[in-house]
Amino acid sequence: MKLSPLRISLGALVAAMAVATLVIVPRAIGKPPDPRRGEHQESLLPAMKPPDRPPVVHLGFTGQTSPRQKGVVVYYDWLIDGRPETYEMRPRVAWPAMLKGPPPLLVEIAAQAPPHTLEVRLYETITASGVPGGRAVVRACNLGKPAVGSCAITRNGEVWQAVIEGVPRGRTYYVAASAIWYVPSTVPQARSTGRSSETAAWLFHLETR
Amino acid sequence: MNSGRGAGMARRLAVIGVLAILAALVPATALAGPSENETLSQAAAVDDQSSWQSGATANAADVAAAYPADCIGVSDYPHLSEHNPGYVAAQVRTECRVQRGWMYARGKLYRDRWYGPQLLSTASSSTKWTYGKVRAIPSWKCYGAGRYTYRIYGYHEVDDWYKYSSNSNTLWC
Repeated sequence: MKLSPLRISLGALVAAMAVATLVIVPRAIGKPPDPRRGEHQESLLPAMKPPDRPPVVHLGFTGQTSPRQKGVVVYYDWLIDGRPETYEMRPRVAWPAMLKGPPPLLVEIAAQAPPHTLEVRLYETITASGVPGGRAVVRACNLGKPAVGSCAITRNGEVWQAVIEGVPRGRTYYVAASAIWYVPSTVPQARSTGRSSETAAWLFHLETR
Repeated sequence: MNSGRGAGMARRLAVIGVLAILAALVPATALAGPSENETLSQAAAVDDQSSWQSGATANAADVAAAYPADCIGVSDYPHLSEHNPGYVAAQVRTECRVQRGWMYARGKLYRDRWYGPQLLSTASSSTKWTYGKVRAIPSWKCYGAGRYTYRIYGYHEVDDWYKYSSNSNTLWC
C-alpha cells in the first residue's frame, strides 16, 4: 500500500507532537528540588559602601510624637579605622530603660547605605545574666518588596526605616535588632581588605500600650 | 491538484510543528536577554531573584551583551562536615557553562544567636578563563556547641556581574 504525501506529512506531524509530549513535558515538570542544594536567591542590591562603624539605631513607635529609644550595641563584627573588630557584650547583658508606646514599632537606622537584612527579635523574659530566656518572635526585613510576613526597609530622609507590624499591646519586650551590610567588591574597602560584610546588633526595651 | 495542495499544506504544517518543538527544546535562558532592571548598575533592589547585577562601568549595550545567562550562583545548605568531623560547613557555588574571564565565589557562615547572626567563618575562591564551577566552603568547629541554626550567605561574581544567595539549616553539633 502506497501512502499519499498528505498522509506521510500528517504522520510526521503526529510523530513530532509525540516527541514533544515525551521530551518537552518532562523538562517542563523537571526534577523535584533537592533540599540540600540552594535554590533560594536573594534580591538585587544597590552597591553602596557600608557605614564606617556600627550606625546609631533607634526603636520607637510609628506615631509622629512618639518617643524613640537609642539602641545599645550588643554585638558587632566591623572594619573600624581599617582594622577588623569584634565585640560581644558579656558576661552580663545590660538593657536600656523601658520605653512605652502603642505599636506598631518603628526601627530607624541612621546610615547612608541600607543594610542587606534587618532582623528584629522580641523576647518577653530574660535570665539573671540578662540573656533572653524564652523563644523569640522574629521579624525579618529586607530591601524592596518584602516576602509575605516580613517587612520592608525603606528610605525616609536621612534614615532607613522598617515598620514592625503585628506586635501585641500590653506586653513588655526585650528587643534585639541585628543588621548585615554587604560590602560591594567595587569599593576600595573590599578590594584592599577582602572585607565582604559588616554585622551589628542593638538592644531595646519597651512596653506596648 | 487538490491532493497536491493538501500535501503541500500538510508539509508546511509539519515543518512549523517541528520548528516549534525545536524552539521549545532550546533552554529559555539561552535566549533570554537582560531585563531593564538587570542592566542598571546601581538599581534599587528588585524582585527578580535569579538575576545578576552589573558592577561594570561599561555602556549599557556592552553590559547587556555580556550578561551571564548561562551562570548560576547558589548557596548549599550548612551541614556537618564529613571530611572534618566536629565542623559545620557550607558550600557556595558559582557555575557557568561558557568560558568566563572571571569567576568568584565567597561564602560567609553565620550562626543565629539570641541577638541575631554571629559571623563564624569566611571563605572565597576565584578562577580566570575557565569553565565549570568555583566553590568556597567556609567551615567552623562546632563540636559541643549544641543546637544552632547556621546560615550561609553567598556572594558570586562572573566577569562584571554579581549576585547574592543564602541558605540555612538547624544542626546539633
